[in-house]
Amino acid sequence: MKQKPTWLLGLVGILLVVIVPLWVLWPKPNAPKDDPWANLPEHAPHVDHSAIIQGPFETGQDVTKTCLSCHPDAADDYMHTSHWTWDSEKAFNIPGHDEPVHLGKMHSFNNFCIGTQGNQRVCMTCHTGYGWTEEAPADLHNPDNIDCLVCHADPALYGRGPYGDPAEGVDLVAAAKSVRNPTRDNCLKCHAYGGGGDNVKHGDISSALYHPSPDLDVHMGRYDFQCTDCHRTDDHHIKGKLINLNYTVEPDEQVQCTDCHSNAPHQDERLNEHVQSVACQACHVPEVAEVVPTKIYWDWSTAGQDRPENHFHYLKIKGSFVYEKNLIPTYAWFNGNESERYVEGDPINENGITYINKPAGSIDDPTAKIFPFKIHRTMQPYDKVYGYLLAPLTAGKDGFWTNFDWDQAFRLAEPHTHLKYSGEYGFTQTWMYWPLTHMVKPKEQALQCADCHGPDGRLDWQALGYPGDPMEWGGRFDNNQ
Amino acid sequence: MQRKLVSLLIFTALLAVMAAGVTLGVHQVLAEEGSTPEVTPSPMHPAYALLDADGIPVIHSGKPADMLKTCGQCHDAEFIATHATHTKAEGIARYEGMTEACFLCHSTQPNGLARQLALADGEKEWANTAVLLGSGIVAKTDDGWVWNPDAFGPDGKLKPDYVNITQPTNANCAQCHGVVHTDLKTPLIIVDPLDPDNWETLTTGQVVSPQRISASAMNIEGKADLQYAWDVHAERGLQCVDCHSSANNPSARRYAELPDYLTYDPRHPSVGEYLEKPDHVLTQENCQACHDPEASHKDWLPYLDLHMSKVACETCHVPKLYAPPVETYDRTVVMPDGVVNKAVLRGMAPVEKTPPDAPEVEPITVSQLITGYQPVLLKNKDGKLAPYNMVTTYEWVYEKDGKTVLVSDEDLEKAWMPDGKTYAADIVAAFDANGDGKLSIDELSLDTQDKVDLIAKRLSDLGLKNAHIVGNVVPYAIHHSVVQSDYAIQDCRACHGPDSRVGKAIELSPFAPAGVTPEVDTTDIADHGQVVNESGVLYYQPEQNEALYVAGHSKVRWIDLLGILAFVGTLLGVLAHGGARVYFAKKLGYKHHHGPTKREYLYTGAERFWHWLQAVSIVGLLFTGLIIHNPDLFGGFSFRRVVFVHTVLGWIFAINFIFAAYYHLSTGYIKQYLPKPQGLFNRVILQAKFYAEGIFKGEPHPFKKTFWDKLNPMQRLAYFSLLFGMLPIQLITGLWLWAARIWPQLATLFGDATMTWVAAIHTLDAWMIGTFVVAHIYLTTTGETPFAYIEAMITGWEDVEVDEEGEAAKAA
Repeated sequence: MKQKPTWLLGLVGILLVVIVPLWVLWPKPNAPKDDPWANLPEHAPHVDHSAIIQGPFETGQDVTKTCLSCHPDAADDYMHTSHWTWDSEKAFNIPGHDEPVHLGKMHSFNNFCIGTQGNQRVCMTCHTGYGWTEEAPADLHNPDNIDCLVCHADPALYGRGPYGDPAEGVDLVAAAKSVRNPTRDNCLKCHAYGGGGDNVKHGDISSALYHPSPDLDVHMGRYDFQCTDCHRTDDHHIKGKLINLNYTVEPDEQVQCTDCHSNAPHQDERLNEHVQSVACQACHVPEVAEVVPTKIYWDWSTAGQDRPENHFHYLKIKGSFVYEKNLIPTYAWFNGNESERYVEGDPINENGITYINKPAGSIDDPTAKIFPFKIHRTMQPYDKVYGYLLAPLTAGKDGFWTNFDWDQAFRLAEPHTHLKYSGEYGFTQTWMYWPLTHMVKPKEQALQCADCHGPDGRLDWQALGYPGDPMEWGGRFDNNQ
Repeated sequence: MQRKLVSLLIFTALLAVMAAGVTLGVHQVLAEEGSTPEVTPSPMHPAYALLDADGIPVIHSGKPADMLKTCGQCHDAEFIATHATHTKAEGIARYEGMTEACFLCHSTQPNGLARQLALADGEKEWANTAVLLGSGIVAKTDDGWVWNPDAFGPDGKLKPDYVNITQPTNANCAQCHGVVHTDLKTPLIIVDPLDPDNWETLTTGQVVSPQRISASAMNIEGKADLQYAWDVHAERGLQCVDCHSSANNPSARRYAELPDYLTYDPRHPSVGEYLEKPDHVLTQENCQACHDPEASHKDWLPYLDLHMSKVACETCHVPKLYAPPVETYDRTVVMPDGVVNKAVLRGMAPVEKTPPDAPEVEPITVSQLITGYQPVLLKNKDGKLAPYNMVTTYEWVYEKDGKTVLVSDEDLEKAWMPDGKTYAADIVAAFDANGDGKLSIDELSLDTQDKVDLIAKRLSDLGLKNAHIVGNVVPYAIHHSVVQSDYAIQDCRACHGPDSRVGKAIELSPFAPAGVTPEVDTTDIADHGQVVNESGVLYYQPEQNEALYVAGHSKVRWIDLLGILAFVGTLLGVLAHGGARVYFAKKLGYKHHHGPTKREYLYTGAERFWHWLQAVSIVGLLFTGLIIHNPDLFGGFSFRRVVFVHTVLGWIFAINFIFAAYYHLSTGYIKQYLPKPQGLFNRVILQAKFYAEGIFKGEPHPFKKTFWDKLNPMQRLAYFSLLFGMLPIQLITGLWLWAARIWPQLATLFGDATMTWVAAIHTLDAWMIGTFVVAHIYLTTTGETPFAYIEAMITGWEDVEVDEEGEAAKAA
């Protein structure tokens, strides 16, 4: 028995002699692997509210009051977000304007349904609050008007009608009992239908993302990501901004691929070199709208005619359209900001295209990268005398969608938009750039060299400012430039 | 009724319009008349005059253009014509005059088809002009060839818009060399797999396209997973001329051997000199011209130099081809449509039995399921294994003026179809197996001597003497359709496994005309394999090269057999012996001899440590070695990892062995392992008798142990052979196998088969050591108690038997 420690020592020694060299010499993977999973936020499990919530509720506001009784700070937090204000958090210095300008859905124009003012009946179905009508401007200081349910209730149990009030017949108690962390279903209810229909506006956000295939979107399809996995929230402030309504966005306010992925994620050094001039999306979002077509052209000038209607080609209330499926993006330099933004009352470009927005950046801007966009082109109304874009009253009472009378629609809009209508209108072409960043494909489907480089490439190198294909002529940071 | 009629009318009208469109389209390709070309004119090349053979501008003479005269105005046409790769094509009728067909390779819109038609129509002098058809420069009318006056300026030179000279693009090369598909938007499809103008595709299945295979419109098995380009170089933007460039092009890198102290030689022709005398012998760059395989493989590929010296890059980087090349041309028969084009494609799923209502001639199309094929690995002229397709052709030859010449298609057609449309009656009688009066493609086979004789006789009736069938097999090397590195072969077991690619046979032909064994053309290979006939199907069995020992795949059969026999025999032997011991112990009811014992210190700490470390490493080595030897039996292990563990354990074993050797020598303990020759035989007999008899009766061991003499005579013999034989041999052969990855010359130290024998000895010795381990472990149970000896090896102390005198016994 005395011997025991000695032979144990021997045993340990032998094991060490065998295991240590194996362990030390074991082939290590070449480079530390990019581990995006480590960077994903962990969502706290949501408390089941079905036992907590007690009815009855007469109105949406009643539900909100109940929510706020336990979450008193939520209202104040929420009322500072653009989901609520429909206004940018700050004012921007936009060329051509002496004063800083606020942008926001509340008043800014786009080249889809043009403006929300006076059209609250329809537009407010996507505002996350109650009681904002044409006659009664929103009481944005009354916390009871917040609609908690639109983001937190199971959309199968909750729906909204005109002005965003709960739809008739909705069981508010059942809806309130179902609250949870927002899912894709909640966000897509509005964000997939911008511009008046499924995938009309974004191109990269459609109803197909409710149940996406892995091939449509690798994050949401293969790994079932929720919107809030990337758009992280902090006291109801949701990361990620739509550039169209912000003019400039600080990099840390925006969702970046590098929030989770490394900045040099490829095995091939040459691909990693691309990262300094090419946005991830340029290769990894090779196309969008594979399932639901997206609108790329809208001609308001043909609206109001009695001719056969079809969602994809012509509607009397809106005019004629062109939709595209499998949209190949347009590529432009983009530093995350805009170089142009049309502000209501701005003069249009009478001799050509008026840009509602335009990405900022050029080959000379080291922070800019080549980025994929959808361009939405529209023939939309303007005032021939004052030379600015007009936002007609459409959904509002006696608006264009009711009477099909442009003059009346512009006149009725005057008190809402505070833009005078001279009595003479025309149609002018406007362009709007929509950055494409969702519908990221699995890496096997990312673009390959020949998709951009070589005789059949999809990039116009000279238009981007290169002397020729950088594969042959070198990149903008190469010494030989 | 009315409606039906209207639809029918509309349908007919549509058909007519479509037909007209197609006809018009075809017409336009062949004879486009003076339309303005939709081509960006050459930005570099100056305007020039097209000259005829007399040196007169063709627009004045109306004669065909003479390329040597035309291009010779500035370039040294004679130099080009005599320094050209494409002279090889001159012997082929359809490519006649290639070396003077400048536009074929240098026009942005070459019309190679029109050139071939001109040659076929006997308009040889117009052939090179025909290449310009469709460019708006020349047109073919009913009155012959007409130069378009609008394309020429008053000075007789082409207007700049019509100067469409380019450096050869992929499209130029694709006219003759194979399927090149650069259009990313249109899914790739190969319409006619037998098109001789797709030569490389036809012979090997190589396709040059940046498109992903998964995007192809063809019906390819498992296509969805083939998400990589047909050819990685095309996908990376390379053009044919990047690797096949003019040898003296100053802008192309040159790889001439330079002295060590130079990295670049700036002396080369100026651009001007080059343009005057551009060498048209195109380079055939190998992979190393651009790639440094050592840099990309050194981190993971074991035996780098050995692999590089034995395996061509293409072997792993062109693992499989997904366009179907030809496997067999049967040019002995005439198809029902009167043409000699019976062919079997490779890499296609077998077609279900032809339905009875199928058309007589099953067209060879790619609409069937394409499975792709793995090329056969043959030893090339560099002595490396490289991928090939092998194309077998059967054809009729006859004697003419003492020479053997091919029977022409026309003669063969006459023999089969005297009237040019239907088979001769005696042929139908002989070939129509199912008696339906028609010949199907399956029936069209000269599978019996009678059928061969019949056709031979019909040929001889046409005056062709001694007509007989010959077969030849041509191996076609594969260098294109390289896949992205992620999809190259990286699994060691592709070669180092039971289903190894190395030495794997390839089907040559699913049938063979009676009595014909095709000859393999070995012009371009150094492989000396053989054609094997397995119940009518011919295979090529590549050279079974014993010099090429592929670990995990190659085995010397008798060694394994011998090893297994020794191992299993010993195992059974000790089981039987042990069983008998238990049986007799019970039956006789004896207790083990309990003489006086004395506790003796037998094993020093160092000895015990050495023993157990050796035990662990040997068991580990045997186990990992078994996996490396038979990877197929242990599919769950990573071959690469197991080899790694084996190597590390081998080093631990080796170092332990050396330390132990030093220890035993320096202490003199080594003595106990040396059998004392005097009376050895008798002592061995005594010990053997004990194991055969005494042990069953509970007799005491014949020899007593002491510290200086712990081994009985049999043990001494066994341990002597282990320590001075088996283990050092294993050590040396193991080190040899390992060191060959660093010093490849070790692999051929004793000739090409060195590694085979080193590996075979290593294997045999492993079996012997394994056998030793079994016997050794069993014999540890023969002590006082079954675990007494093991315990002694752990603690060092053992209760050894002593003589009556109480002294430790000493073996005589």
